[in-house]
Amino acid sequence: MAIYFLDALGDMCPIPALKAEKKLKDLKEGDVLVVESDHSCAMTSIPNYLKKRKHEITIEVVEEGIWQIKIVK
Amino acid sequence: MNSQNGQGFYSKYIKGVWPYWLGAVFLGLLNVLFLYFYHRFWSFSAAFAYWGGWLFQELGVSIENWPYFNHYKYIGIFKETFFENTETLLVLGMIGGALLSALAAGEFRIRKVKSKKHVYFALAGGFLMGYGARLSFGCNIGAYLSAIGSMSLHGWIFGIFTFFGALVGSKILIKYFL
Repeated sequence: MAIYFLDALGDMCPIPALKAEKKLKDLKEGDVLVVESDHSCAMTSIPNYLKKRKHEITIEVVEEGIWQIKIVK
Repeated sequence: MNSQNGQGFYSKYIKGVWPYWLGAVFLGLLNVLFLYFYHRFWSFSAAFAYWGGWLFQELGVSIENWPYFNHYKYIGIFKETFFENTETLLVLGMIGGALLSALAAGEFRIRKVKSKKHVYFALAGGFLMGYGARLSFGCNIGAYLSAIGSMSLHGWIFGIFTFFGALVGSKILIKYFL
């Protein structure tokens, strides 16, 4: 299980979700992708966008206005 | 209300994201109030053109004969003061409201410019949106939402072409920005 990090700071919707989807393609089953974003809308758009794939998604507040979205492939 | 209820309210409504339908209901109600108080449809992006016009006037450039300001008698706007102009008030209110909501949720922060690519894309996008909105005499609020709400055909035409524009735009975004 490897952990990948994706810097999506400064990106507005739908860019964080699209970047996450693109990055997820490089991951193997069980790998973890951590997306860091400062765009509150990404907290809804990423889980919504990836809903069909049934990834396990957890969101953590890192700092005021910065979140890390953990996606398990 | 005890403190636990207060916490729940804060995390649900101030910090949390509102569902789309709730935002839609609020926007609809505010739109009705806007029509009632100002006797005109909701639009705001023209404010930027007026600000440019005011700036040119202040610099001594004559804008009276510019087709944009003349064609639909927008020139009348320039008799108003800055703060009498409803579009200007809406733009300032929108920025102020967004600031308040970000502050209240504790999410406000000064964002760093990430890369030159971001700057170029933002400037190009802003220019295209602004220029396009002026060509169509309104943005997605004035020329789309308000138009369809007033049963005007041009809103539907605006909507169809916005769809195709967004389609091409997202292809460009995916190809060159990701």
